[in-house]
Amino acid sequence: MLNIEQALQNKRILIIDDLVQARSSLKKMVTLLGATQIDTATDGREASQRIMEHEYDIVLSDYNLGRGKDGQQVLEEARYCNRLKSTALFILVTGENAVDMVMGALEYEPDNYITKPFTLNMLRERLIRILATKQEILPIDLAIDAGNHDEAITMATAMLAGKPRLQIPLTRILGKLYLRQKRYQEALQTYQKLLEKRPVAWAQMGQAVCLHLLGDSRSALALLQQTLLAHPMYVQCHDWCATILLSMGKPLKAQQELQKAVAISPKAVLRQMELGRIAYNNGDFPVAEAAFEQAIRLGRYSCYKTSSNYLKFVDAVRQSLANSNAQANSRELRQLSDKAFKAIEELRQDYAGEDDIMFATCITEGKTWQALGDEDNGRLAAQRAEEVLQRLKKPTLDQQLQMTEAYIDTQQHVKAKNLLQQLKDSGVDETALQQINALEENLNKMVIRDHTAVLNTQGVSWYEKKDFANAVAAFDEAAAYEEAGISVLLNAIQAKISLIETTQMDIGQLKDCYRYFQRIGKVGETDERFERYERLKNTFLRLKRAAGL
Amino acid sequence: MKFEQLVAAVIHDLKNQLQALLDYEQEALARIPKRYHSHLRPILQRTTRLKNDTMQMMSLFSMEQNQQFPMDDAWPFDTVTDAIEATSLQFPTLQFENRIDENSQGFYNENLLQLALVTLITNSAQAGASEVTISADDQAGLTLTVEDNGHGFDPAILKREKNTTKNEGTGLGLYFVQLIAERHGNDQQRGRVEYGNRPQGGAFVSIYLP
Repeated sequence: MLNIEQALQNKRILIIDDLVQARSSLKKMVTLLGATQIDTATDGREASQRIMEHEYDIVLSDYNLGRGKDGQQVLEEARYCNRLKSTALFILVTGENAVDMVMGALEYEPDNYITKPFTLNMLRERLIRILATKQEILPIDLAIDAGNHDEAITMATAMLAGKPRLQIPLTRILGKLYLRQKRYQEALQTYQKLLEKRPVAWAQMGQAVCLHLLGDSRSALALLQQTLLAHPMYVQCHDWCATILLSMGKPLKAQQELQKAVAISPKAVLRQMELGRIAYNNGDFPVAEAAFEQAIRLGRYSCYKTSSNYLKFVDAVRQSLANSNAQANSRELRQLSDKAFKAIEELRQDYAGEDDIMFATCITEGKTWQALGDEDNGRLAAQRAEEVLQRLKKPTLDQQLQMTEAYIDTQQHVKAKNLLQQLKDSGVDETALQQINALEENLNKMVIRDHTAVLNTQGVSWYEKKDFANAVAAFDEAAAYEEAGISVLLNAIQAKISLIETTQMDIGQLKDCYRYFQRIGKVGETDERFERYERLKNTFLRLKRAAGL
Repeated sequence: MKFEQLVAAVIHDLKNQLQALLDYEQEALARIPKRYHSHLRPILQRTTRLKNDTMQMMSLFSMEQNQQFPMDDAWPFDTVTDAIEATSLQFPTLQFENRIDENSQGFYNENLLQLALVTLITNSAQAGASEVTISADDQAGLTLTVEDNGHGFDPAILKREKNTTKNEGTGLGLYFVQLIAERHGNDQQRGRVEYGNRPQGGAFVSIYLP
C-alpha cells in the first residue's frame, strides 16, 4: 500500500476553512500524515488569491466557507482560470448531506470529497485511496497537462480494459476527453458502459449531454429530468436543461431552469451571468437585474470580474425604469437608479484607463438618465461619451453608431447627421448600411417631430392673436405629417371652428375637421383631453347640422 | 419543507456538538494522568454512543424523507476499520478481527455502511460476544459478514423470520441494517441481509450489496 508520508512530503497543499479550529485541526492532521508545505486560507477570497499565486498539488477545501464564496466556487474559479493541473487534486470536505450538491459535474467537479466528521485514521485511509488512484492514472494526467489528448485517451482506454476497478475515475477522465474532442458517440458509450454496472448520477448527466450534442435534445432533456428526480440538488442538470431548452428555442423555459439552479446554488457567478443574459433577452428585467447584481457582487474579487456584468446590470435597471409606470413605488425606483449609478461609479474607478469600457459606460449612463427623464444629465453623459470617442484611435462602427444614437436621443440632430454621413462616406458593408439607414430614419422622424412642434407653437401664437386664418394654415401644415399627435389635430380643429364661427361657413374646413376626428379616433374618458375633445366634437356636429350636411 | 429543514438543522448541530465534545474529551484524556482515566472513559464511551445514535437518527430521518444517499467507489477494509474505531472505545474488551483484503473494493455509501457495521458490532457486544470477525467477498457484488462468539440469535426470532417477511421481532438494530442494505442496488437487484447462528456458536449477519 501507498506510503502516505512519502506521497505527501513534496506536495504543496492548501487548506481552506473559515473556522479557526477546523482549519488548525486539519492542518495538524495533514502534518502528522507527513505533509511539510501547507498553506491555509480563511475564506474563498483568500483561497482564490493563493491559488492564483501558487501551484498547488492538493487543495483541501471545506464546502461551507461562511458568507463569501463557498468551496465549490473556489474550485470553479480555479478551473475556469486554468490554475489546477490534471495532476493536482481538489478535495472538497463536506457535511454528510452536501454530497449531492457537490457531486461531479463535467468540468467543475472536485476530484474527490471527504465527508465530515473524520478522525485522523479516517483521513489517512481516505487520502491513501485518493493518492493511490491518482498515482495509477498519473501517466494519463501528465499527457493531458502536456496537451497530448489522443495519447491520454489511448492510455485511459487501455487501462480501463486492464483495471476494471478504476472504471469510475477512468470513465470520468475519458468522458471529458471525448467531449472535448467532440467524439460524442464514444463519450456516450463510455458513460453507458459504466451505467450498466453502477447508477452514477454524473455519468447519467454526461450521457444526456452527449445525446444533446448528437442532436437528440428531447431524449437528453428526458434523461436529465429523470436524473433530477433522483437527485433534486444536482444543479448542473438544471444548467444543462437550460442550455438544451435554449437551443430548442424555448428561452422562457430555459430561464425557469436556471432560476431553479440559482435557488439551489446561488453563488455561482457564471450561472448568474447566464441567467441574467437569458432573462434580459426574455424581457424579464427584474430577474436580469437581480442576476447581474449577484454576478457583480460574487465576482468582485474573482477572475470572473468583468465590466460587462456592470454594464448589463445598468442596462437591465434602465429597462426596468423605462417600463415602470407612474404608479410604481418612487422609493423603489430611486433605490434602483441609485444602484445603477453606483455600478457606473465603480466602472469609472476600476476601468478608468480603458477607453472602450469608459465609452460604453458613458453611453449606458446617458441612456439611464434618459430613462429617468433627466435630459440635462443625459446630454452631459453624451458629451463625455463624445470626448472618449475622440480619444479612441480606431473607434468601431458599433461605437460610432452608439454615439449617433446618443446624439439623436439628446436632440443633437446636426451632430447625428454629420456622423452618419461620415460613416456612409467611409464605405461600409451592407449590414452596416442597413443600421445606418435605420438610424437615419429615426433621425428624420425626430426632425419632423421637432418641425411639427415649431409649427404648432406658431399656430398657437396666431390663434392667441385671433388670426385664425394663419393659425389654420400653421396647424394644417403641422397636421400634414402623419407623426402629428392628438393635441396638434385638436388645435387644428379648434382653429378651423373658430375661423368658421368668426367668418362664414366653409364646407371644406368642416370636411378637414371630419378627417382629423377620424385620425384621432376614440379618446377615452380618463384622457385629460377628453373634455376638450367632447366640446369640439359637439360644436363640430352643430356646425355640420347648420350646414345641412 | 421548512419542518424538515428545521429537524435537519437541529440534528446537524447536535452532531457537531457531540463531535466537539468528543474532541475535548480525547484531549483531556491525553493530558490527564493515566490513573484518572477510569473516570473519564465512561463519559467518552457514552458520548461516542450518543454520536452513533445521532448519526443513526439522522440517517433514518433522511431515509424517511426518501433522500438519496450517493454511492461511490469504497473500500470495505477502510469502512470496517472506521466502524471498529467508532466502537472499540465503547467496548474495550471486545476483540476485533478485520479479515478483509485491503484491495477489496465495493460501490456503496460509506457513511451508511459504517453505521450498519457499528450497529452489528453493538448487537454482538450486547449478546455477550468477546470476539467479532468481519470478512468480505467482492467476487459478485459485495458481501460483508460479521460473526461473533456471543449467545447467538434467539431461536424464536430465527423461526418467526422464516414464517414472515415482516421484520418485527428480529430486533430493531437488524431492521436498521436491512433498511441500509435495501438502499443499495441497481435496476435488477436490491441489497439484502442474511443472518443466523453459527454451528460452532455465536451469530453471523451478512450484508449483500449487488
